Amino acid sequence: MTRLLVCAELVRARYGYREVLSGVSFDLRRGQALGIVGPAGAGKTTMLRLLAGLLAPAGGTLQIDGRAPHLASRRTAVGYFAGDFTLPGSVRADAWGRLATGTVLTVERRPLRALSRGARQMLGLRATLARERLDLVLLDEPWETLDADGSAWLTSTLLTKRDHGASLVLTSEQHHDLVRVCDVFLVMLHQRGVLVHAHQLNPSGIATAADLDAAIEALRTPAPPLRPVAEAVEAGRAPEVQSGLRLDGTDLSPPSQPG
Amino acid sequence: MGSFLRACRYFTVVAVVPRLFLVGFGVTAAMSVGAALTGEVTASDVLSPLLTLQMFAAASGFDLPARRGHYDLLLTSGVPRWQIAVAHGCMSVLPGLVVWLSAECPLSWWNITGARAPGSLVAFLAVSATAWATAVPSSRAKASVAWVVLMTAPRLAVPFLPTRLLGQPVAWGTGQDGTRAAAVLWLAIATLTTGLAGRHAVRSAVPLEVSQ
Repeated sequence: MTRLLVCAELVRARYGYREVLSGVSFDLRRGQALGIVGPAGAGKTTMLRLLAGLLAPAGGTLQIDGRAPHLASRRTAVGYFAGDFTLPGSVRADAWGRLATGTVLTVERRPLRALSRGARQMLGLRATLARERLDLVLLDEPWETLDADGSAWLTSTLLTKRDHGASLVLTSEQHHDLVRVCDVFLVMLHQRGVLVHAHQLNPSGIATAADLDAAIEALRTPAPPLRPVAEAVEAGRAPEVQSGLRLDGTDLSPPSQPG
Repeated sequence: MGSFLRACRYFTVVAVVPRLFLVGFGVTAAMSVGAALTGEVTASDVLSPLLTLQMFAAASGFDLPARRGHYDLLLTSGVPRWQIAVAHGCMSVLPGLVVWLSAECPLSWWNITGARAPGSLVAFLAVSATAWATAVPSSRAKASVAWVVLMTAPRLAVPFLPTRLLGQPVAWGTGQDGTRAAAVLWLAIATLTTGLAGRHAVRSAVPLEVSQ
């Protein structure tokens, strides 16, 4: 069993008096890929920034490699990119490319604001993923604005990073990209998170975007909540569930498997 | 040390002082030296425009670009936050410091009254530190408004303006108690605001502007 990298227990976050997350729990092991999905404003970006150590939780416990996130980045190599709009427009593209590792990522000398969104997104991703050793990769809507070649490059790079032991936490509205990389999903609804494993979405263990969409829709439906996923769990089709499903305190984890 | 230099390098690429200010410093320094060459001037006449420009140049702002995600790459790179804050402050003050020193040297060579006076040094340090510190939790625009309000203050505040320190001795027993009081006041303001700003830069959360 690979070592636990991220441990989130009832994490809460707020902006001023407004609560954005109220009790999100999940565990992430090395080499595991977590996809965070949910409607706009559900707290996906906030969750990533908490993991990046840029925000402090208002409650609960969040640890990366046994340390608070803002201290963890000194020991754990974290790569975080929130999207092309976060790149400073006045900086020349080649200079930004050299910032991450000192190597040349592009020979483009125009300022970043003069590039297309797709080109900026690509450069931002390459600068983030250029480091040889990365323990935790946090990407917010990484496939957004990428063309087909760019999407294919990103997917294969993320799979390579994951195979080399990096843990991934990704958010995306494009579920068909997400299911190719992630083996566990955090569905964020009503400021809470429900953890769903790929095995729970599809008995074959290979989830599709339609499976994920169906699970989200099922979780959104007030009555009966969680039924399709719960049935899958009860039918014993999710033998590797570690954290179970939690919504409003409901734990639907299957009994631990012998052997 | 390596991580501090990395932070400094980051702030040279993601410039904290816009190029327009660098041009402004160059023009102001050239005009000041030109005035010193052509007429009878004091150090205060030459250094006042540079000090005024430094008030706005050093007020680079930390929170605003950080909340726009411009510093994400650095903030998540493992460089300690206090080193990032110090590097940000140094790189904000550096262009003004270089121009200030390069303007002071010719004044000394030409024996212009008040060149290299302690008051000038106190004024520059206090203004640079206070300008950077006041902009850390806000932005250059907000800090600039504060400076404009101060510089256009009622008569009561005029003796305490930092420009009054230029070219003045601030040592004890010089008979200039008002200048000395202003120097002490500005050093106290600079120390206090820098401490608070440093604490803010190190401890504050950095939410993304668009997700709040």
